[in-house]
Amino acid sequence: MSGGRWRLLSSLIRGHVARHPLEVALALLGVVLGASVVVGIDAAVEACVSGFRATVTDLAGDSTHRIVSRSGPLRDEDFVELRVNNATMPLTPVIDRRVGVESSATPLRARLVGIDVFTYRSLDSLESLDEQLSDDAFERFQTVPGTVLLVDRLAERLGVDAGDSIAIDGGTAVESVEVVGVFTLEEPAASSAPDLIVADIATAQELTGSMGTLDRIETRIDEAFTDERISAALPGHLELRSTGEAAGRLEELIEAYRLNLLALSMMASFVAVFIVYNASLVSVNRRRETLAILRCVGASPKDLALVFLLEAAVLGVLGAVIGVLLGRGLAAVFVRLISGTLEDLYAAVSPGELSIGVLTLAKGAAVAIGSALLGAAIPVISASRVPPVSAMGSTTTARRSGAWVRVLTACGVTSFVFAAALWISPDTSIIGGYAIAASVWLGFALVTPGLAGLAARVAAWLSRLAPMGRGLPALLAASDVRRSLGVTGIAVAAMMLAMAMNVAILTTVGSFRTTVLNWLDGRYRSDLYIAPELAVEERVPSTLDPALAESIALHPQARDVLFYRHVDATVEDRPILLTATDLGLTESQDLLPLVGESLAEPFDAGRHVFLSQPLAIKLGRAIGDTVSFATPAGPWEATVRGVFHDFVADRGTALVDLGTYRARWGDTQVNAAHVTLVDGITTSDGQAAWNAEFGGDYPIVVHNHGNLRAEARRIFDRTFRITDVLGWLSGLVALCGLTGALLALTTARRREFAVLLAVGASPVQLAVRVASEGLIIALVAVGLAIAAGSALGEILAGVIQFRSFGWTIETAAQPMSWAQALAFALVGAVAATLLPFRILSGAAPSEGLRSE
Amino acid sequence: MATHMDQMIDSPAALPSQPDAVSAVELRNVIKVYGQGRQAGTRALDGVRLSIRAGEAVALLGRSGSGKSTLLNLIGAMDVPTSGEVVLGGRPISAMSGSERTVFRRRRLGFVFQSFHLVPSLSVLENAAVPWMLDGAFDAEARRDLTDLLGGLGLADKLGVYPDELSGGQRQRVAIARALARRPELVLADEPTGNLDSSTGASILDLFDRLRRDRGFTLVLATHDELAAERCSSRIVLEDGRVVEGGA
Repeated sequence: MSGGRWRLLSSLIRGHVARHPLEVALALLGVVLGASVVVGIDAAVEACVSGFRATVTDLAGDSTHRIVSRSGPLRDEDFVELRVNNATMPLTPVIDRRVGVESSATPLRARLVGIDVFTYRSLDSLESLDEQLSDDAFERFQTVPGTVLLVDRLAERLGVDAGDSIAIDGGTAVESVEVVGVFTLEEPAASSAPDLIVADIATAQELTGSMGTLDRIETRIDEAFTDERISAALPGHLELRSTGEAAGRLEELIEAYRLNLLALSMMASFVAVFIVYNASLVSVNRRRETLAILRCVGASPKDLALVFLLEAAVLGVLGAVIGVLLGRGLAAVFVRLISGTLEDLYAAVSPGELSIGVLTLAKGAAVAIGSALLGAAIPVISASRVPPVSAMGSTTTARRSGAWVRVLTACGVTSFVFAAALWISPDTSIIGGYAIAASVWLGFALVTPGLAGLAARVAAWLSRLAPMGRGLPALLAASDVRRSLGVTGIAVAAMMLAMAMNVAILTTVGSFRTTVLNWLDGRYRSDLYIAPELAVEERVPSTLDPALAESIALHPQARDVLFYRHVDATVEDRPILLTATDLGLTESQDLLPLVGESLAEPFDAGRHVFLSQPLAIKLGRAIGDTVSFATPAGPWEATVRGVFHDFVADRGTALVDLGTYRARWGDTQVNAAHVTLVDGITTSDGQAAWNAEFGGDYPIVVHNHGNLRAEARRIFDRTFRITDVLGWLSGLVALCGLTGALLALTTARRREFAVLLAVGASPVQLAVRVASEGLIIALVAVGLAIAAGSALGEILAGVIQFRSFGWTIETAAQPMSWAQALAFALVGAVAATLLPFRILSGAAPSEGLRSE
Repeated sequence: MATHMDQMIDSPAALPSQPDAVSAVELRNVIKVYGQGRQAGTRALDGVRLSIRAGEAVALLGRSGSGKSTLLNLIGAMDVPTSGEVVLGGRPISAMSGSERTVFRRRRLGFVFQSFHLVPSLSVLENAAVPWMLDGAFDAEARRDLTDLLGGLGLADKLGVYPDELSGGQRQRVAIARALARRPELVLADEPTGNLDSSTGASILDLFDRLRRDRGFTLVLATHDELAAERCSSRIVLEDGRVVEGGA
């Protein structure tokens, strides 16, 4: 293209920006917000994942794999047996826990890693540790029980040095240990393990109350020891996993979470597409005359299309740059919300360094430029088709918009029919569920302009009923909405979609919350809940001290005590949560919220199990079917006695009798105790008394029923806080769209407003007209958003949640979400009126008439 | 209840007691300068003095850029002079607030534009009734009066029709009906035949003659058309912002 042409095109673009800076700024803001949310979420999740990955892998040295127990705890004997049978295989046992640390400084949490000094060298784990210590210190560390090494950063925080003592709370008791040395880690381990304590394996076992058990055995696969060879050497209850696999499993969960968040953040970008479409369409319509003149003097359709494509591209690139910068700021907010949620749901996560990677940059740029180009696509085509003999005139535009509104409505109805067909089809896949949701969502978006037009007709009819012509501003507003559906219809759809998503999320989350709290009430009816502090606060699997368990069982204030043991297990190669408790008591006290009935035959502790609903669905088992468990004592065939609602472990829970578990798994430890107090003692009194009696000797947390419910609510609310934030950001984007649309309408009707001012309308009357227009749009958007949001909420809760997790959620309307949508829309309408009002209040009628 | 503004705008004291006794329009040494700062100095009107008697039909002539539109804006109370005084029906517009000028235009003035400027979403009757509706005073009597007026303009069967279904001449007649809806004393017409063919234009000018005879309003007709100007009782010619002919 010649330089002259470029100059012409760029001057057209510059002229447009200079004449309508506010509209351009609003469209840019929409693109920026859309891109920044995507960048922020992606960077924040990546920081959390990398932080977690680093924690798992950075201390591994040459270790490539780890051996873990398939079912029940990994024992010292397992390690000894492996050593004896595979003398040359590189193996080292590890304890890896979060512990509490107390010194003269503030108490804090740290990571305790217990290693076998003699075997860990074979894997070069914690390389150079011995080189950094004096011979005397290293010897004491190897030979004297109760000695530990601290990483320099932790020593500094604690204000201790070699020779000092610190107290370690390992979950069952608080023990004093001697610091015999301080060492330095190199990056990246230094960043991922700033709170590392290294102890001999025996010391670590003692400190954490895990005498005789290990967390894992590290090993290395090489030419001599292939994974097939190592796997063949393992007893049946042990399995080999790659070092990254443990992280990988959690990363899979985190990835699913990331996908959900990205889907939500894309919502903002989707709304941004509408905004750009709106702005581009207005821009094309406004310059139809100019475009026609250019065609007359020899510009090709491509030239005209290029003007708007360039505008969109510039908008996209600018949006990408600002969006990435803003996204970096948002990421700092998101990372706190996300790490908190991941910690509640999955595991303790120390977010890594927050940085915007190339992939994140690419995503942000793609979203910004993509939404700008996508939004401009149809207006660009429209611009290229402007005939040399101008097709100006509102009538043509109105007729054209009337035709496409009818087409859109027909497409919307088809989309609903498609959703209904999917709903009643036999397909029960998750993808099918998402297809139903997407079809309904699209259907509502497509019928929105038509329904907005219908609402405007009704509003016009009502305003004509007002006596003495007082309804004139509302009549003009309603007529404007109908006449300009090409612009207003899109604004309504954008606002509706953003609010519908909010209503849907709030409906799903609210219904889920109510269901879970009701479930908690049914499932947890004991008075007191006792668990190790680490399990409650750090989500570290720790057990109750056996002496404490015995004291609880025999306590005079305890009427009934249910002990719980939770372990990872495998059923038919599927990882599950195995929970053991007194099943007879659980059933007799009706503590299991069952799905349907249980087996009619009498309870048999040695044969019967209960499955959670998600597990039953995943295994394809029903009441009366058999399930095969791998236990240290060999395979165990159990009968499914019943299926219960469960919202705790989405991988699925199997509930077995504690006595049977102890016999078959050979494990007598327990993780928690649920106590029903004797009559006459309130739960709060009981909690205070039990805390006073046991809290000093054992690091435990005693909750009462109310605390538990409050804690569940806290976790729940924290989990979904980010969805609220994303919903509001989408709403903000939609607000930009609405303001932009109204602003465009106001400026497009400058001449009409000038005539009305000339014949005696006051600026306030015109502002009322614009406000009425905003109000009509807002009310239509709210009405449709509530309908669409409720329908989507029903689909999310009743179809997608069930198909994804096997959870049955009772959906209930959430009037608060409606009120929130209404308030948002009204505030939006007022805000969107303020800018046009400023223009109108300052306009002299002669200005508008002269501009003709 | 009449507001203070209503009383001021509609007060008999503010109206000329005799059509010939007070000028309908009087400009005293009016200067209008556009632009501020460095751009100041675009003098659209430069010391204009003129007086238009009530009931008179005045043609306002001049080339493009001579200041016609500026003069019309001032006489139409849409703008205020930089200096000097514009007096309409005995009241200086500079003494009126913006709101007062708005209500004044609504109730006391009528406008007819070259491009008709009808509101496309309103019917013929509604378009004509806009000055009444803006006051929330479109009662049965006003409706009857307006229906009669539209009937007299040959639009009796078009009351519920929308502007895009009308011919150019019909649209201009609706615009005239809107201008006369509240029986104003002064009607300003800016090239009312500029967008019409000659025969339709002539019929519109006939219409103005007839209505003026019937209703007795003062007409200021800005035009380039000599034939249209000849129908008026006097003429004011502007050149470079100054009155070079008529105006006394």
